[in-house]
Amino acid sequence: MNMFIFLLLSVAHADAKFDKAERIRLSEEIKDSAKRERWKRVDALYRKILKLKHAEPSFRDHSTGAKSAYYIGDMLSALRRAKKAYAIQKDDSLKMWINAIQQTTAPVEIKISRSFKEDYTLTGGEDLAAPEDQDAFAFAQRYLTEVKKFKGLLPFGTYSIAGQSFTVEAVTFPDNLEELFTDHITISVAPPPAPALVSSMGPRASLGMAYTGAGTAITNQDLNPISFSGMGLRASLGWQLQLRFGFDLFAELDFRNMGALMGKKPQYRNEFGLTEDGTNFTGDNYWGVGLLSGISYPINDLHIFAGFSLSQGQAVVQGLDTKTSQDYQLVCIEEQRSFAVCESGNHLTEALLMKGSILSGGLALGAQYNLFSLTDTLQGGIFSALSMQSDTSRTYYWGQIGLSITPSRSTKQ
Amino acid sequence: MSGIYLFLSLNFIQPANATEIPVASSGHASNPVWSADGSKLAFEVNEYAGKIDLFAVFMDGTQYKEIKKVDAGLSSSGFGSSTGVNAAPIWQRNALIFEHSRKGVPNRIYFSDFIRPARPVIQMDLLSGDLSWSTLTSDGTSLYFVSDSQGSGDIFSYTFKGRILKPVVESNSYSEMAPTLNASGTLIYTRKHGNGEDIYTNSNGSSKKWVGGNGDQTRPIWANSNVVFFSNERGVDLWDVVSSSKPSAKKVLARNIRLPIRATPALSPDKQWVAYGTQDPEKSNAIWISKVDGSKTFAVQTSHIACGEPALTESNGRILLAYTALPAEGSAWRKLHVIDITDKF
Repeated sequence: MNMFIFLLLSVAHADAKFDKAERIRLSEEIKDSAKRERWKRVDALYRKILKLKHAEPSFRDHSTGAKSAYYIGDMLSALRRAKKAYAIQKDDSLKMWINAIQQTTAPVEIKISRSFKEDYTLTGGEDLAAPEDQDAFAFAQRYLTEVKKFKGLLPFGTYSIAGQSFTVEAVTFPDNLEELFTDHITISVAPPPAPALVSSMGPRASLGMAYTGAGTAITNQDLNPISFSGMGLRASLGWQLQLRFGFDLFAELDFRNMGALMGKKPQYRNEFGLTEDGTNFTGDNYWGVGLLSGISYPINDLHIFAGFSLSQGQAVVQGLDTKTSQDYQLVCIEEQRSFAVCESGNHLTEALLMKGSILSGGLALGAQYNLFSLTDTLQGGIFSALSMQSDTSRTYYWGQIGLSITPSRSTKQ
Repeated sequence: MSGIYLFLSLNFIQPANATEIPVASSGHASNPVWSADGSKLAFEVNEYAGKIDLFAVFMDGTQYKEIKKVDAGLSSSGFGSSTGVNAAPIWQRNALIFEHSRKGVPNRIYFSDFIRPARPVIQMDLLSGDLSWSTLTSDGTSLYFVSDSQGSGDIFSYTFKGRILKPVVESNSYSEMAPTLNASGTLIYTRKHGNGEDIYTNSNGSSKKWVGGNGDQTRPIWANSNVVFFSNERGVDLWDVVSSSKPSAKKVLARNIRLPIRATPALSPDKQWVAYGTQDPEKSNAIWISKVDGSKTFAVQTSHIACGEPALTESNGRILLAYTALPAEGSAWRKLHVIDITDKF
């Protein structure tokens, strides 16, 4: 135990001796560098001395270190070091130096937010002509550029930074420099407030031809209509939000129908009483409403969008899908036909009318190309969209080509 | 008529009551330079022993309030005094710009605000060598001076803000000196060639000869559109004050004047008059003032002899004249005096 303590003391003693020797070496180097007016070197050497745990700077170290800081423009360090030197030795010239700094500068603290991306060059000081004022101004500029903050002394004058102006005027310096920044000019440069999430908004609408269709059922049910398709109209009306991130959100309600145009022709079976004159049926048809919502991304005048679509509608379709309709024979019976009728290959199943509601959902994508401005905030163009939906038993699809109206996107975006 | 004559005569013969500016240094007082508002005066005291002291005097009219010795002091702790030459002052607002040199150190331009130690305006790493003949632009934001860093004297400008150094007149064959500017920024300077100096102007980078002649045409200064300068065209030690209203034109305003140590001709604040001392022992107890166009001349009588080195300013509506002179025949040193001569104009 005693040996351990002895070893510890020996190491500590060796450290102290090393630090004292190192201080003397650094001090001599400071002296030589000061002779050659290498002030940055002197400043670096002085800071090395300050880091020594077991050695204190001498009067000469402090005063030369003060001089180096003074010539570099770091007036606060110059003042601190000069005061430390004066505390060791009451040198009249040092006192004058301390007074001179205190009579020509004042404490200023400038903080630049890390997220501030604009120019934050310290400007002003138009009347500064004294070399030390130029040094102090340049030091503050350099420091701000490097670390985005400055806490030091600036010469009297008017300055500005990031649009904020401030005037540095004479203050009473406290004896204890630790109290210097209790009452001082503080400039905080905060980032400009983030732009609103929604930069603008407006209505969107479209009107055009729509091709609607349904695929073949993939699940067995009592009765399943056969696939159908046809041409109709789609009209939509909605709202579009332009977000600051550069893309838009939109939602629109639509009305869409389908008629026999471009679909299969209606079939009549006079032998079963399905005559053209005896029915209102003119072909497969569908009408419904829907919701389309998604994201739109502008590339100049072209806007590409993608999103979700949901449709609820009614369809009247001619023809049974006998492969997936388990009970289609019952229909024959209900129609008061004999079972053989359905099996006789007389195509009754192709003529039977199926009516029902469809609720389907899926994905949609499309594009619009803006061609003209309607107002300052609205623009018009051509629009196309394609949606694939499902109700789990079959696939539905619709596509549209038409005219559109959408909000104009701000040029700042 | 006789009353007016009597008044003028009395005005001529009565010595004015001048204030002597006392300093502790021994040597000849010379080169007084007023601040623009006439509230401050700087001057040199030259002992002719390798040392020139520089003083700044804070004035209240003709009375001094405070006298400060100006020094490019360099001591281990920052303040202190040094020997050497501190001279050629010019005022930059409330600060003084002057030249300093000492043994082993080139002549450099220093800046003192009387609060902090004087500092070199231009660091050696920016421009080495001797720097001299400093003069300011009318707004005080830039300094023009002569550098010998490239051998012969060249004229540079230095803008305080941003420390911007620019060559203004450079030539390998000639030495340029004594630059001064008018309010519009047109530079006038001298170019030494052979054994003499001629006067040139420089505007927008283009130099033109203004006036030449035998010997030296030197230390020019703008007097509105005229150029006033010293000339020894008649002989090496025979100096005249000359006015030039246009290139190549010369009009001698006064002959055998006492050439100031380093100053340009002393102009009145309105730049209509030029003041000078004379070598003529019979007239050397006065400072003489001539209109720049040569139409009028009058004398400011003093109780001193060998008057010279005049400098004029306006302070609170009063025209003040500073000049140096010997108190009496056989005196050791020239002294600086200040006098109100408003009534003389």
